[in-house]
Amino acid sequence: MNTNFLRKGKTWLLVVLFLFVGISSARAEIELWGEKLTLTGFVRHQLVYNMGEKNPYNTNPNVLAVPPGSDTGYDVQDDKNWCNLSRSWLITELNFKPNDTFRLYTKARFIWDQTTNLDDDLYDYDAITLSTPHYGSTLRAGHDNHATAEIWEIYGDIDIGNLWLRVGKQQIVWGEMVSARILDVVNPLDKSWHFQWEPEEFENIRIPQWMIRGVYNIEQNAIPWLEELYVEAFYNPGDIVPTNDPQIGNAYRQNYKLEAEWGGFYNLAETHDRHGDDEYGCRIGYKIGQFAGTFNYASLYHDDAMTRSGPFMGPATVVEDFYPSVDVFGLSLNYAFDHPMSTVVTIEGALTKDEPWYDNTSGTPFPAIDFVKKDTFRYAINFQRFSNILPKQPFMNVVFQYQGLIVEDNDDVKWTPGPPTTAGNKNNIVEDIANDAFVLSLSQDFAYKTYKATCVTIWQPDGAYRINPGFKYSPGDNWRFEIYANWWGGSAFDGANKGYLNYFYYQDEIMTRITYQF
Amino acid sequence: MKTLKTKYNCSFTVLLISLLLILPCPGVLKGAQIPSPEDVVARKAALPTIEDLTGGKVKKGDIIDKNNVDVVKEWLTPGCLEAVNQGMVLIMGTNSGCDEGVPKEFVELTAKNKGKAVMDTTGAVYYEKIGTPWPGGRPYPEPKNGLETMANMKYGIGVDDFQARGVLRFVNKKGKVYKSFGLESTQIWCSGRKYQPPLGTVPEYEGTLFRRTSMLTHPIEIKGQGQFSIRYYDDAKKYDTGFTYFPAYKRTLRISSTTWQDNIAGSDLIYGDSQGFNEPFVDWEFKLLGTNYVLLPEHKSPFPYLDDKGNVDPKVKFDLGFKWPRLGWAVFPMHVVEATPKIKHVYGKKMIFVSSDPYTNATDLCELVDIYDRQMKLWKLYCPHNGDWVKDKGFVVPFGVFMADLQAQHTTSYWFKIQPNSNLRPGSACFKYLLSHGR
Repeated sequence: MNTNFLRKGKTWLLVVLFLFVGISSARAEIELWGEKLTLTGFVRHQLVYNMGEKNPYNTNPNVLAVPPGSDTGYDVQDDKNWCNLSRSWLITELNFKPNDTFRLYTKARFIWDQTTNLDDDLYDYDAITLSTPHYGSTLRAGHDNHATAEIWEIYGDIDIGNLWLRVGKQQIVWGEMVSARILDVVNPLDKSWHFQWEPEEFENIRIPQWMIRGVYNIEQNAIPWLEELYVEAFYNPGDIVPTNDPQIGNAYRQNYKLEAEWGGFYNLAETHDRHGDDEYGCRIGYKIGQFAGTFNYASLYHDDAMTRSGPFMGPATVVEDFYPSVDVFGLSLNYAFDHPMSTVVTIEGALTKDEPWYDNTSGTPFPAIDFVKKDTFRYAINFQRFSNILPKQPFMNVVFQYQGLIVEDNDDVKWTPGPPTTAGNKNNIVEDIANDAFVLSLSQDFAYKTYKATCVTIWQPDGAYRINPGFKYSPGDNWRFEIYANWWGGSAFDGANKGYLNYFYYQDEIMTRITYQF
Repeated sequence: MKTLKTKYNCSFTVLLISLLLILPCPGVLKGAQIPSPEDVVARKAALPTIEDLTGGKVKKGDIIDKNNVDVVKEWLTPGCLEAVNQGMVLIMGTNSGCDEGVPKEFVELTAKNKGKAVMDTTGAVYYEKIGTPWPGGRPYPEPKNGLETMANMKYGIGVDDFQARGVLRFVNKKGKVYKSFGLESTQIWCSGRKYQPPLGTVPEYEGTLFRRTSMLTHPIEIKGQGQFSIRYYDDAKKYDTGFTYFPAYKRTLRISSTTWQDNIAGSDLIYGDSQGFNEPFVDWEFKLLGTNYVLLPEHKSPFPYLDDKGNVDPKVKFDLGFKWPRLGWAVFPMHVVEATPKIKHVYGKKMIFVSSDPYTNATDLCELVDIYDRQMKLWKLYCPHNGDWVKDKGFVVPFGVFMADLQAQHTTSYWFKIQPNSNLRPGSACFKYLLSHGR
């Protein structure tokens, strides 16, 4: 039996190896029907080793009625896990381009997550969760806790003269900032597996939605002084998906689960998700001399659930989750200084009208929960320069950024549904200028892009930081070997304010990634 | 009498010495008939062949390698000579005929506008008076200084637009291709248009020289990474504008002016090496050192080096693995320009060999470039894979280029197919292109 099994296994392996050998000897893109239909993609395994601590949000927070260690199902993890993530991917991108006018693109993902199989200290959570149970629009036939196959993106492009249309499940990204989503507000995020601001990974974190998007390029001088003028608009007819949060047990869990089913004293009566509602937005891009910028507007729904409770009635307290509508008004403006500065300066700002925040006033005494709407302004200034630091090597991309957040009547709101600041809980304070941070991002290729070193450092003056160094080895067309680290630390607000990086102190980790691309 | 006798004796002696010299070296006599490169450029004389220049020692079809390179080294650039010593092998090829590189309309336009170019103090070239854009054709058929020579490249290009699509291949010291990137680019001229309406300058784009897009097409890691840039008519008055699109972030970013100096996908080529020299002229000083006969890859190859899909024909031979393509080389009269950066730059200087008007090509006037590092040591050789003749349109364009790092002995070979004059709209090179062609 064993021999047969091995033989079968080897046959399978040989077929796979044969395919890969065939692929590697061809050009990097596989032509299925000449240049009209091409296939590309990669096979990847990534393993994340936990250098931090046991995730506190997978245990009882002690402030609840249920005593620690009680057998309620809430204490899902007793010991620190060593593995934060072990996940294998097969991603394929299929391009059908019969002519210059039309293109059809699909990106399919096959995911196998072995995290809980490898680490017995982890609760067997659903690693491939969805933020809503609307399977039809996700193009995911189904999944178990460890594996899924889905079409992540699928869209058709029509490019006629000055007009370009994209219809389908897609990502729309506005703005130019690193490590901050000022204008990148259209798509929600999948935080359920690995929330690292690594570019390639971010493609698989931002959740595509069914939308129609159009860009119209306006001919030069249609409006005096304005060059490179274009108008972009999108419309989402109802595929509204909120943030995908990690399930209980997941090493990336970011908050306590306070529902009664998990040992808390709230009963979630209803989630008012926005599936079926519509979202839309537009932006105008322009250039005046060496200034270039955009004006943006979007009518959206808040990506994160905001909870509202009825009167506190102990374990029978009823809560409901809401996703309030928000209007986002934004702008970006950049200027390219030529020699000797050779630096691009970009500013970005977004005013969110009536953004929901948790109510900090005495009208909603803890543990009752309510939220109020406040105008919120996010902003950043970014300096970017390609610099020749090492002789005869590619340029280093140096980015320095400052970002912050201003909330109307900040004293009246708090970060979480937890105790109000008026009760002396400084961890929930929303400051006059909150979330402010300095970011330094360095990226240097070596030896014909065979090696790449990166480091993103974020420092928050209130006393928090994140350091994210990385190293990549790409010896040829196909294989890539990468290692990244994530260190979170500082003492701001005792590591208990979600707006500060030290909140994620338990997520210190080292990630390795091996990729075979074709 | 005595004086007359002495005179006869003297004449006899001179004649005897001359015969003694000439008889063993008949090529010397022929050499005396070699026209000057200046006369060839001025169309007063025919272009000599390598056989003429070497007095018959080297003939068409001969192979030149490091063992016999001495016989032609006088007509090789230092970069080419070093490449031969590192293993490059040359086949002596065929000279071009006069005015074969560009269409008839271009030659006629050059003749019609001869003497009407005026240069601003910034180096910008205008027609008859400052402010009137140059309508097309070569502004300085017989350039007198470095700026005029380079102005031929900037304002006197032989096409209205081109699309190039190909593969960058990284070749290591052992000649192994270990990495490749797909790259396509488009450049559309808004001024000096010669063939496709609107001729001259495109309305609404008066201040623009060209608009350019480039896009990496594979592997998946960088597929869809693109750039869109604008070169203004007078880059001293208005510096380039550039944007890039990062497919992983799915967003467009403004890029800084140093990007011209950064490597294309990590290769030996920097963005400013496109077409031999593609950086803003305001950042460089140009000095014309003279006009010389130079060996460079022949303009018309004996067979197409690439098939319609862009694959290299198996008949193309390579030396030292895939490092050096064995191309046909021929003699051309070239203007030698020393280009020195005025700004902090990765290069110390570029020795640019600019093709002269009668023996030119449509897209790449800077046909050979020897590049020196900041310590003024020979660093790189830029060399086109010349030979693509778009016969129906009368263009000579390259099948690509290679850039050899002569110090690290690493080469980037960029084979591409150029499609000139596709009647592209200047407005098609824009933000929309980055979004629609990006991933």
